Amino acid sequence: MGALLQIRNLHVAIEGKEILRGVSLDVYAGEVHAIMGPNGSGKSTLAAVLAGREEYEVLEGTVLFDGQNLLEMEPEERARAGLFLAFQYPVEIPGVSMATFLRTALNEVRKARGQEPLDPIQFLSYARERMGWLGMEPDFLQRAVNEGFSGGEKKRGEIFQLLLLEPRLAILDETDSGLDIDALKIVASGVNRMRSPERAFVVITHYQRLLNYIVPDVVHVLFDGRIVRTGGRELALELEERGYDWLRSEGELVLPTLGEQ
Amino acid sequence: MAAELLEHLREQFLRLEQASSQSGELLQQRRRALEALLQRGFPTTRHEDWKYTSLAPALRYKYEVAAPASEELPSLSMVQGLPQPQLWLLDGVPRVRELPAGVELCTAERFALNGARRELLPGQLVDVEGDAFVALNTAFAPAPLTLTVRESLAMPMHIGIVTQADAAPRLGQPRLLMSIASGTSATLIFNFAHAGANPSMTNAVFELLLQPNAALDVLLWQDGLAEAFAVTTLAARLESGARLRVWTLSFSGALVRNNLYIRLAGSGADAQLYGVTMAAGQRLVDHHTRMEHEAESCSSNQLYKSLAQERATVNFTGRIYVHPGAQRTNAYQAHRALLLSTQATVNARPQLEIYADDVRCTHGAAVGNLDEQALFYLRSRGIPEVQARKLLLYAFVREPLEALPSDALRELAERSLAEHIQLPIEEFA
Repeated sequence: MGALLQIRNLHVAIEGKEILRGVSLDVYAGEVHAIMGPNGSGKSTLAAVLAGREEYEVLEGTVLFDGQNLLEMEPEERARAGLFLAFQYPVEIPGVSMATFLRTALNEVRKARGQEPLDPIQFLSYARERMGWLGMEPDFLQRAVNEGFSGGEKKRGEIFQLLLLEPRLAILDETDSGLDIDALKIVASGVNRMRSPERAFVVITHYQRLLNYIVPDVVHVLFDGRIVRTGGRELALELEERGYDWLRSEGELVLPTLGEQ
Repeated sequence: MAAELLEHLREQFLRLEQASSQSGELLQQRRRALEALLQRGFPTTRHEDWKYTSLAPALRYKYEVAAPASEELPSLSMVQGLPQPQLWLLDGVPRVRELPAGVELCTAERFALNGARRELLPGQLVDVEGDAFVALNTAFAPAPLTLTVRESLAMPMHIGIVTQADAAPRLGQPRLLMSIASGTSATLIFNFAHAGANPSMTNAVFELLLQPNAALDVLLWQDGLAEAFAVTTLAARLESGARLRVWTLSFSGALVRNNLYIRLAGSGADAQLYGVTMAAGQRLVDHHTRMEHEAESCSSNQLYKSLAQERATVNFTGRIYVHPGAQRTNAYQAHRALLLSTQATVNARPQLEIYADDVRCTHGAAVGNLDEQALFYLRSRGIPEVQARKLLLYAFVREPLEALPSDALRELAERSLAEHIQLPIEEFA
């Protein structure tokens, strides 16, 4: 089996400024990878490019998802192929109910997997079960998409969508930011419930706090558009202790990354 | 072009006048109206109120104005799910199927002959001399009617407005004066449709008198106009404590102008105007509202949402006029539009004139594009771009429907809207 996600020498710019400067990464099914790094290191750019945001320009490199050229796929094709991005800033969409949005999305994904669509009643029982897992309010599905949600509600909503859509690869972009410890635990429990040998996670975070609850197999440090360190769980703890400055003091030192080993 | 039409109208007036048995005040009113029309002519874009709306495409045809001989009710597929109209106005001529209990219908002639109270004659609330379309309607409307609601209506009353251009271009001119009795409530649905292979113009004039504490909901459902032309003038006067809500659902018609003239004449009256406009192709839709706060402690709200696609034009002119002495006025107005093509046009003109000092008055006009962030969010969950776009358009434009008086009506309106956006509503219900 090859890697579920294979990134090779990825260079990405936005508005002419190069943000990712040669990222390589292999994520296998069943693994949880954490990507850490200081602000501006390119973490969210990586997530955005993988999800298919059009304003980012790929200058160089390849990304394979389950053997397919991910960069040539439309965002909706990526989702239907089993890629999921939990947004750092989920978008508010007045006038569209969560139920409408999620049933439409789920049925698109199910269609791609060769499954029958769910009718509204089937959807409701499927969704309610998962809402229970995250302790969500019963009126959640009737509310407009993310409209007026608190920061915590929005993040929980993203994890709920993850539970609903059952992707093969989930990318969590700063899902821990702005969460108190209780909300963080709920979010982590949702993710842990979804861990399986068929599924992989890329957890992007600034702090190692989340990694106490979602224990990663591999930790990468993204710095100035490159992965400068790769290690185990202990790397995250080291970062917490020492901050990111010691990386900065090592200057342009580039350590061998997983893809190049 | 307009001159030819005016001459054609003058000739038809003389012919109708000879054949008519009418006499007295109504005939005098018709003559004065024709004179006013011939003198002023139709407005052009040099006229401030018609600055962005050229009538030229609608004034090219020599419309027949005589009432048709046919007694047959049209079998039109009007709004799906809505029961057939109880009252038809076919080219302006009434055909009553059945009137709800508590509703009385009279021809204006009968009222005039009976020496009825003066206020029930048509022409109370509109400007015959100064408005070409009111003059046109007053000169020719085949059967001005007075409709009185004496008891509250449990169900909406459905009125089919059809202009039938089978043999020749036709001008259909419904004329209705409605009086809603004190303390009663009603919902009236005016369902506009065009029939026939020739061009048609519907020029409707509705006058509404809301007696104290009356509550009226009106839907101007413009779904079946196809490529027809339509000018609608709805003028209302609200006595104290009366409440009026008007929804204009403008989904069809090549050139559509809706004039809503509301006078809040009694203290504590409340008027709400809602509009949903879908314009594609070369369609032009022009909403013109005038909200006059004449008495104190009145409130008004206007919420219009529009989509302008392809080469379509949506115009909105909304005037709020607060008269001296109309203290404790609350007046709001918003027109929000999505401009979805470089060749589409939106003109929004909020106009406030305030002559009282204790007034809360706001207006907003916004024209924007589809929210790309929202589009990406939907797509990132697997929803195809085309479908995601439609879903966002639908979500944007449906907001004024939320306040519709019943779930059944709201669902009908939503379904109709979804059809025009070509959104498979079943998947989104």
